[in-house]
Amino acid sequence: MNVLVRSRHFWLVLAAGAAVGVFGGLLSFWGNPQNSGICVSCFIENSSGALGLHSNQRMQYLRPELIGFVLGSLLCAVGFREFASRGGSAPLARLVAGIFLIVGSAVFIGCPIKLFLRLGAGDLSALSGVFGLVAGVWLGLQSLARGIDLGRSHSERGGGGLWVPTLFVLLLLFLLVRPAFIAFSERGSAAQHAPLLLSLGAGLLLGALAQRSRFCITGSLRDSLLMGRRSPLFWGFIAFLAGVVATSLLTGQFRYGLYGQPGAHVDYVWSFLGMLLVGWLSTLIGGCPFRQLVKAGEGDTDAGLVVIGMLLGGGLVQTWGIAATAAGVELPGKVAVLTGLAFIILLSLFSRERAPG
Amino acid sequence: MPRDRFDQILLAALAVTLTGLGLLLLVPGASTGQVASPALSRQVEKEMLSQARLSLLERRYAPVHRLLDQGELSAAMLKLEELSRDLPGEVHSNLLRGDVLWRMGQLDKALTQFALAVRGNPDYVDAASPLNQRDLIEAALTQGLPQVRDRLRSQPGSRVLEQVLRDGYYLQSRLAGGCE
Amino acid sequence: MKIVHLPLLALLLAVLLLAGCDRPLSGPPLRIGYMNCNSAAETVQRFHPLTVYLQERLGVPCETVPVDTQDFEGRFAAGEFAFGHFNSLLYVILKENLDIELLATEMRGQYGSSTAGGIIVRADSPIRSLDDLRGKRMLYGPQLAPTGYLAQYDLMLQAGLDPERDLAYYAIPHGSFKHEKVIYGVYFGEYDVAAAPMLDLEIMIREGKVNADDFRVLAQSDIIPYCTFGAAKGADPQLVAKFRQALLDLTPETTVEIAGERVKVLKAAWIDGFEARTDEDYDPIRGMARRANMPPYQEF
Repeated sequence: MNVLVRSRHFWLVLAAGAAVGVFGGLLSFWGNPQNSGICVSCFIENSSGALGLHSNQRMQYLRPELIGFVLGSLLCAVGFREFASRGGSAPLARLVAGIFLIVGSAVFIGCPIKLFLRLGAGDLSALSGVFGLVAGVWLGLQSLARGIDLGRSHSERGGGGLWVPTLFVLLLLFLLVRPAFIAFSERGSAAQHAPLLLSLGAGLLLGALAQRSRFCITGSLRDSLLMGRRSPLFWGFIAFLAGVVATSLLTGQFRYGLYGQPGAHVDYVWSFLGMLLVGWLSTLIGGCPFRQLVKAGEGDTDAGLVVIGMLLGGGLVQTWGIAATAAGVELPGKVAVLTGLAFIILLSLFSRERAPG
Repeated sequence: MPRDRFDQILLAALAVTLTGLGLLLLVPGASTGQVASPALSRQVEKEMLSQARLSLLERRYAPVHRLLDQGELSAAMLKLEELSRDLPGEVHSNLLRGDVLWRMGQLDKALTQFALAVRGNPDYVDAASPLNQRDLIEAALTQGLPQVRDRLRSQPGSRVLEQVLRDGYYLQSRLAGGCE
Repeated sequence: MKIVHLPLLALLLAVLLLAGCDRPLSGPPLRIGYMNCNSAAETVQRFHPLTVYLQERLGVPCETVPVDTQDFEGRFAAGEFAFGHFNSLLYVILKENLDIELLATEMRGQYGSSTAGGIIVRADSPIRSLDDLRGKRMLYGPQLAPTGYLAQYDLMLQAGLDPERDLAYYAIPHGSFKHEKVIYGVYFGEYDVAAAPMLDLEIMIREGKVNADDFRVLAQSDIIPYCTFGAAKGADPQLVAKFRQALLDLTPETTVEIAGERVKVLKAAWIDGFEARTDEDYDPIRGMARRANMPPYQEF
């Protein structure tokens, strides 16, 4: 522990975790939907809607937070000379993985960050998702230990790593200029948002911190399972949880209970399976949805493809009725989650490095 | 940095393209105006549809509101039956039916109707929507949920009451907000 | 290893095959009395799938027995049925006189397992209040109908009117479909006012036979439980519990096979489902019957 405390990286991770937790609470206090101050999957669905990838008029808004995560990471990576175009590790599989990350999150109604934001706000129905996420990360670790390997990424020529950040610069322009072809909901959850500058600023700060610290929710769980308290990410996760609970209590957003929680359903089995899907996939592809955005900002084209996949997924879950609601999970959602699990299993089978003979 | 003539040509072409793009976007009159922007048309159409729907609901359900204002609850229920026949699947009937049942003291059935209405049209719990009925639904929940829980305690295992309770929790969840 | 597994497999196979066998049910049939609404033929058509379903769930042969309303008490008392389906007034009568057990209440229409009776006039009628009914011609439903007669009779008594004296006269249609005839009687102007069950009015509006705007509701009774299943006192408690659970487990998708055809039980019976109620829920009917001097509290 002494060694950890003396490391600058440790404090950076702590700061990143705490910041994500605090801003996660503050952003919903400032206007984002309840318990969804930061929810990458919900924000992806909103942004997909804004881009016209689905027609749910209540879920169309280019979330500045997402733009901030990518561009904050980009600026930080460039500033600290860590930006590097790299990729080439199972690109199409990662594109599909991005779709299923959103599927799993949409069935739970929240990404791993929102999972803990909900829990920290007293929503006990999120517990089944916690068990699912931890189980998924564990399964991912088991898969990696048994030789599942999507291949190494390598340095890429041609500045390929700039394309996804450029896309997000374009999205920022769209957000500021508001052209007619970009939809902005006037009602529903997408109409609930914190002031633009606050959202963008928070996103930039968190993107930068996450890029420097490598903070990631599923990564924290992974490292906690592997190394316990010796891992800086373990402490970063604790700081994140502390930030969530403290902000939730101080802003009066804490509502303890199982029922009647905002943006939550009580189909526990499917919450578990949805987060299992997310945890497992995240471990295999090297990070949760938030981490994928940050990596895309620092030039990782594989993560960039995951982000593109997530945007596609954001459109599909709304158009095909996969996304769950407070009423529960409908059949398309259940089918999609099981299809996602089948995808991981097949991917694992095909990607497994086997001993010769 | 340009290394040879071809690089220079490419850079020049990029400059011309970007200049042209900039001119298209920033100079007024670049569009001929002959063809309406499809995106703008879609937005206008969406807005018109929304207004038209609101107007239709106000017109078709006006008799029910009149009957409610006069305290003619039974007549309002019958009128809703007629409107459901003419507008099948329109959840506004469910909402108003819930209102009537709540006024009649049939709180469990009111909650079921409100849940059907909100599932079909989340605008009923959207404070920013002209169809907002949060106060009504909150009042029904405040009175109805404790009653349903009491009845369920005396009739454990009642599927009907369990479903009403689930409907009540669903409404509570929708009123609390979240991404949907 | 193989020798050990084979007998086990054979045993499993035998069990599976036996479980799939449709063994005919034995023993005397359980007679379920169903109160006739319009005709015995209609009753059988409506409730036979329900009886078949109950037979499958209870594991005993069951028989659908259509019974006229007036005969129900006598035949129940004579032990002809262990289970019966009747209107809520008949339940109150049987409970009072024969101490039957409440099983489940039928759900149908906008009020679920409840219903109400209304006093209606045509929309263009000059009658505006119950007081205006004095000297008018009224059409009632059958006397043992809780929302076709009792509720409206009680409404008039509570408004200070005596249906026996203050009306010009009242009539009860003969034959079947009495409730519809009552409503049509006012609709076509043959009578000034009608005692209409709100459920029947609702159904006629839904079917497009009349419109809501064709009538005005002068008054509506308290909301009371709808048709009910009951069990005779002394019926086998296990059977009673199974019967009740079978009713409560019914969903709109429950089907039975009849003559090679899959039939939806609830749809055939014109029912939305069954709900568990308490005996106290029927107290408003008891109050109405006492005030109206009707069975089971009539005094001569």
